[in-house]
Amino acid sequence: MDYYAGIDVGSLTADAVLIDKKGKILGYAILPTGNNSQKAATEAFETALFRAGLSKGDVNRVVSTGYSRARVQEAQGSKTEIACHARGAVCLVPDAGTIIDIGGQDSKAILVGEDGRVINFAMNDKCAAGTGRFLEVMAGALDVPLGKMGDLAFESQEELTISSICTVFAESEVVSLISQGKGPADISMAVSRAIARRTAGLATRVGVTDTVVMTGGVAKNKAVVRLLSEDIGHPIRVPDEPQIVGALGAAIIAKEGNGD
Amino acid sequence: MFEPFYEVINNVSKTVLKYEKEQGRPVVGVMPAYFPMELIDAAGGYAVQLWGNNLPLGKVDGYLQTYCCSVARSVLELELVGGAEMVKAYAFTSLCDTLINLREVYKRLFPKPTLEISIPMTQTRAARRSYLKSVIQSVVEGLEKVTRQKIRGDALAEAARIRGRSRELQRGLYKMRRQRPGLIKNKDFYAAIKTGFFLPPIVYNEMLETLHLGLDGLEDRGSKGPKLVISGLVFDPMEIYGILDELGVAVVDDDFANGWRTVSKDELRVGDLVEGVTEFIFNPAPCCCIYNPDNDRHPYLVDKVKDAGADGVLFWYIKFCEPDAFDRPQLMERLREESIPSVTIDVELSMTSFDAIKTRVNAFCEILEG
Ligand SMILES: Nc1ncnc2c1ncn2[C@@H]1O[C@H](COP(=O)(O)OP(=O)(O)O)[C@@H](O)[C@H]1O
Ligand code: SF4
Repeated sequence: MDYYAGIDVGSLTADAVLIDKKGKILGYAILPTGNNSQKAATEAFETALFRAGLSKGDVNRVVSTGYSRARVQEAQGSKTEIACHARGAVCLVPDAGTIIDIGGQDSKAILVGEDGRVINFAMNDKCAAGTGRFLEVMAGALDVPLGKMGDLAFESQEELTISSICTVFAESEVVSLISQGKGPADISMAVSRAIARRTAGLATRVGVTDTVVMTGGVAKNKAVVRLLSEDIGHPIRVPDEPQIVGALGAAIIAKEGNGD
Repeated sequence: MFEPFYEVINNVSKTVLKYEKEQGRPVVGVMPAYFPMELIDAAGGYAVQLWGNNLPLGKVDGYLQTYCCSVARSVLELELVGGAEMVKAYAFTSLCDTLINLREVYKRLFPKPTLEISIPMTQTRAARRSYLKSVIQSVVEGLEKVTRQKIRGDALAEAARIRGRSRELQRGLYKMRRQRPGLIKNKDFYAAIKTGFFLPPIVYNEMLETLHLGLDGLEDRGSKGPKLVISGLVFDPMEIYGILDELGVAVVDDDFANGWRTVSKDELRVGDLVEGVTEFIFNPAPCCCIYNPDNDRHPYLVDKVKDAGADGVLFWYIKFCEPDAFDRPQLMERLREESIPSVTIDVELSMTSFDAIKTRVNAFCEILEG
């Protein structure tokens, strides 16, 4: 049997996915990147191997992607996260047209053609505004676990607005809302709305198609997904594990023998 | 072959001090763009072009907003931190609001004289000429005061010939890379062009002549990646060419204000100086900063891409440069109509991290390579 791996080393998480020659996912791992991206990549790869019951020698080809793609020792090739998120998303949702990925420190919108090839992309990599890091800082200010932010937002009663784009200023807005006695649900909703609004702008720049897929860690926040969907006027499909889509795409590219 | 060029661009102050001493000419700092430096040469000055630098920005915050471009900000920073002591006067062009204001800032802050070629915004050639006539007159007088030397006709003709030769030799390099992509590394190419900002033109011409001889005998390496045309104001930071070289991209032509937009200019006609300077500023390459409805940028860029056989366009956007930003959406639209892919990178001259730029360019290459 032939096996292939994709390793996505992002700014916040290092993800690895193992697939067989039919493209079936056999194991995956999501670990924090920390301050040593090379080590994190190796650990993610080994964890995924362990979960799949495989060893390094079983893997025919490894392709890396993500911010630190060039620093992954195990990889024989690499592709940008744009290509990999597109490839992974199209594999999971074959008629995907617009793919929106919000990761730890950047967000991107990718437009793919009917053949699954990338036509255009837009990235926000200039600051943490509207990214996972933004969400994390706000969760910290609210003292709410990150994973609960989305559900909590749905309990919102009052519409609040966070107007600052900058994460630092937005955090002080949140602190001021807390001191005004505003509830965490309402604030959480306002935070989600701020992210959704920024991301909608990005998506509009590349073009919004009928089938929109969202990938990356922030897709786990249901409030962001719903608000974004309202903003762009289209339903959004979220894969079961949105965080590994980049690594999955890299694994598929490895299987196809590509990745320089 | 390119070491002497890097020697200059990596040691700008040392180089300028050396030639200032050797020539005994006062240094005139030339701001962007299209200031006819022939006038400075003929007046006995030493023209040094200031297209920005990569100094960490600090003092400038007290005088110029953070939303001004890093070209203007870094040039002012240089003067504020005492890095431009050898510059005795500044030559401005009224290219954009930032530069118009920058001159006012210089006038208030520093005792050094400033001159300005104020570019007319009019459609009629006659109006352009009559406006520029008085402008040139005052620039000439200003320069003569700085250098204490009259601009003589023969000196001007000689300066025009030498500068004309520089651009001719530079055009030779442009032609060579269009015809033989991959022959010259992108970084080396721009190192060779950039060197001209800092050297006396005679010295620069000798270097270019030697380079031409060396390149003529060189074998083609060919390029493995896509062929691109780059459009923007200023072709720095140089680190990005390292990325392009690494990705196997061959830049086959450019539309930089300090690249082809300047290099394409013919020898300055000095017989009728007013006519010559008018021609020099408004032609042949169109520019986002020069109002000239007869010289449309849209078909120009499309033709450039086609002539060079390029696969796509890289917009090299110096952050917050208004003239460039205003033009870009329509240019991109026009390229789309012609099915020419394009991508934009946002750059600042003082930037130190290039990972995000690498990802963008890499992803663009992946699209082009299918
Ligand atoms: N359960 C969750 N609910 C909401 N957001 C989450 C959850 N898990 C992770 N995230 C968000 O995902 C982000 C990381 O996304 P990821 O795609 O792994 O980033 P990168 O690839 O840039 O490292 C975190 O900043 C966090 O905001
Ligand atoms: S980069 Fe743009 S804004 Fe800055 S000086 Fe040049 S033309 Fe003006």
